[in-house]
Amino acid sequence: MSSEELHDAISRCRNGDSGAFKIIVRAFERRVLAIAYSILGNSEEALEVMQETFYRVYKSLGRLKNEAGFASFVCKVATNYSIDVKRRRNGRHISLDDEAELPASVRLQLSDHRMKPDAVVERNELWAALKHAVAGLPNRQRTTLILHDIDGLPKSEIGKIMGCPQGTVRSNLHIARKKLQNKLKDFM
Amino acid sequence: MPKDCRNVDEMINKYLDGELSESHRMRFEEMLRSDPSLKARLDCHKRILRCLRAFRKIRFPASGLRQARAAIMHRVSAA
Repeated sequence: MSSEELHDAISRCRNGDSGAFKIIVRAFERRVLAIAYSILGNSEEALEVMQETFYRVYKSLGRLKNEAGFASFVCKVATNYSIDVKRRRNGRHISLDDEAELPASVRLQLSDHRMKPDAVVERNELWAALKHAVAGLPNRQRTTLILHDIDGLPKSEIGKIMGCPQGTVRSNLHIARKKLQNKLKDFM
Repeated sequence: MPKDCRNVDEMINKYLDGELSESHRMRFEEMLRSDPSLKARLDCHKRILRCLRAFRKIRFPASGLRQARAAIMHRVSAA
């Protein structure tokens, strides 16, 4: 979505054309779902986060001053709400296996051992281990990793979202990556 | 090694994130050519990043996605 298209959609929403919000939802839903799914590990809660995130974003449109930071704002709302949902679970066990799945082409890319007969099993195990490893990180490390390595936000934006200096973002990212490496070393 | 890198993993992270200076990047790439274990560590980092990016491509159940979109528009139009 270009900045002009985003500006137009936001203006229409502010002028009472709530239907224009559909364009914004379609443009940002994948980012929101990727963030929510990587924090929560299941599609049902990720879809709940998607609903609440966009509702909160819509309600905030009137107060939004910096349209250039809109994508970061959406990511921040999605991240914070996902963490809230995770906290609310309060120890309840949630299965990380559900209906959401990776396309076959992406699953193939996950393995470097494509010729092994048990490669499919290994890829499934790697994907499950990755979800558990990300879910098991402390909040700030996980959020930094998700925003940087999954969502592709620059460290400066992440610092603004999380209210910390870039050095802290870099440090959290480094620790999170190191932990993932340790947890996934059997697959590497 | 750059002064702000305390160990090889930090240097690998900076290399992957495009944060090494030109001279440090060239030096690092020289080291990669001569040190297979460093190359293996870099490949391991790259593979984890590739796995993480797979989160972007998850397919959600179509019915769930339709319902979520409809629920958003319902709440928004009622707001």
